[in-house]
Amino acid sequence: MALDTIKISETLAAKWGARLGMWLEICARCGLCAKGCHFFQSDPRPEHVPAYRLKPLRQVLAAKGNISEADMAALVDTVYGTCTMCQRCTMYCPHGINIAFMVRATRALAVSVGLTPKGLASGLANALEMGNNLSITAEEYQETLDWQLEEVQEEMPEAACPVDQEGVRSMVTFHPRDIKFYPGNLYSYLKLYNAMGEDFTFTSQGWDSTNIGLFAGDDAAAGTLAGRVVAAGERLKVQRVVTAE
Amino acid sequence: MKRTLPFDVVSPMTVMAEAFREGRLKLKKHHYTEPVTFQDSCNFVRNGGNFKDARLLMGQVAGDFREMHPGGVHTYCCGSGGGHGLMSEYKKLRLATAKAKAEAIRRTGAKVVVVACHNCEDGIRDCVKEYGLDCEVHLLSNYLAEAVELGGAS
Repeated sequence: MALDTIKISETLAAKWGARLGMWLEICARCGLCAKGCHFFQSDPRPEHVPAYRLKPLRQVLAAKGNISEADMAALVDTVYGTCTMCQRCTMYCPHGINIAFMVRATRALAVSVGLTPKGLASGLANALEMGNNLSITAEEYQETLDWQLEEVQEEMPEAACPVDQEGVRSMVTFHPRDIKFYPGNLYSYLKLYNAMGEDFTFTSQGWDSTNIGLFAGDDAAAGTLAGRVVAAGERLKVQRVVTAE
Repeated sequence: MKRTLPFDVVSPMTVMAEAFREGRLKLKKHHYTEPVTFQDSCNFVRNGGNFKDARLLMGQVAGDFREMHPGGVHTYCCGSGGGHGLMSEYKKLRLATAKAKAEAIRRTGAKVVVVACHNCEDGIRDCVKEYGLDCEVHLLSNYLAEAVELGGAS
């Protein structure tokens, strides 16, 4: 299957900007960023120097998007496999180049031709389709809230678990694993929020504040996912949204 | 175009630290005695600048708190950031490159690593297991919830 190089060029053009161009231009390949990277600190290989992660982007630019499948596979391995976008290297760069920003831009090129790594792609598909990345149903969600509230009430009889309450101060969101795999976390949140007398609510919609779209480098998906949390916060007219831990 | 949100976005750490400062959240002083360290997350600390809240809370409940070096804005990634927790195709490399983090944890001598981020929870758990560290890993909320002082304004 040939790569859709037109798609790559279009994505590159959309991502292009003065900042990105300047950073590519001024990187002196001095290697100071290596000190900042846990990949390099743990396993000092040239491919683990953060500046190396700009190589695929340069390659795509030089080829005006027309790169081979092998080069594209190498791009995927470099920008997904060898960088967690932690931004530590930026603190060691004399120019303050944000390598993570460019890694994410490069990830977008892979996304544009459907080469998002499998694990990310499937979690993202779940999130888009089901409203959370672990495909938890509305019933499962509410049942878990009820169950953990009962548990907390044994310790704190007055504890409450408001859902979709409008006009409160804080809307508290989750990572889906809090519901599916670690309901004990939910117990802790309920205990803490009740103990501190916080004016809070959970929400039946837009409660997953993780964003796999952001990790994947898929801007459209990232916007959709973040937009759901924003919509929930707006609908409930809260003063603040508390992110997942 | 940039959009202004009609609400603030805050981390759970900030909410809990604020409630603690205001005296709404009562936590047992030095409830824990074992040596414990804290994993500063890239997003909350390096990018969010949220260093002090965790210290305030940990300082209250932990009798033997130990800073990790490097830590704070210089914290090493847990290894599970940027989607790495979900990409099994790169797991081997992820574990191999968690060595720097494992050494940082080992140097603290801590028996518990508290994390305030779900990605970090996985990353640190894998790191601890891979490098045979004698450490438990706990989520900050769980760690604090157990130390909540219930019953009346004490």
